[in-house]
Amino acid sequence: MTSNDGTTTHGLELGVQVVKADTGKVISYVNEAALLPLGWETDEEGAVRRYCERMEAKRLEEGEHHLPSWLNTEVVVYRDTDERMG
Amino acid sequence: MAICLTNAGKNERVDVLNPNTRGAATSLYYGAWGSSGTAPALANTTLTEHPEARVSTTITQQTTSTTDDTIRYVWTVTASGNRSVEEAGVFGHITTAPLIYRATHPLLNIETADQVIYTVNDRQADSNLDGV
Repeated sequence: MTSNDGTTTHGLELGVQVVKADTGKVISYVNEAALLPLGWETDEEGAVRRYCERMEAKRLEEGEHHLPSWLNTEVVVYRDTDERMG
Repeated sequence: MAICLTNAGKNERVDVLNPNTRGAATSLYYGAWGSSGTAPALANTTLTEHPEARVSTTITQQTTSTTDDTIRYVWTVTASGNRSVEEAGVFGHITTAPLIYRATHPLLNIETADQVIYTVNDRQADSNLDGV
């Protein structure tokens, strides 16, 4: 989820996660532009896998070794145009 | 998803950097959500806010490229009713201006008691080296 304000001195990102009250399920909204290297074809399954791998690597880096929370996470991938995929 | 540091936000950042004005600058930042899907613009000063009160943000420094080059704001809003949410923002005041960041995201049809966790990262990227 990366967007830039057009200046040379800032890099801005927005993260959005919804936690459903009834199920506790987490829905993570991810912009594919933040996941796919420039020039790659759209690849929702791959993008979700890379997102999960990145989250898992981050958790290990931070010393969290219990079960990853994204096991209960649905990942919704959006293109830059906010068009929902799939 | 789109996000911008508003003109008011730039002003506030400079106030914090300036020793003559930083004393009067806010030390508390509040997150909010709203219903407008209009793309963020530098001149934005408000959100179309839902009834939920703004909430304090948790602020940390993160390392993105170089040590502590990123400031992160995290806040959670809990819906007190069913809401259509398409925007979020960080304010320098609990009820009034300035709006520092404004962002839009895909439409979320939120139900009562659902929570949305927002994260805004602002990385101080490499400065322009022109003229050096």
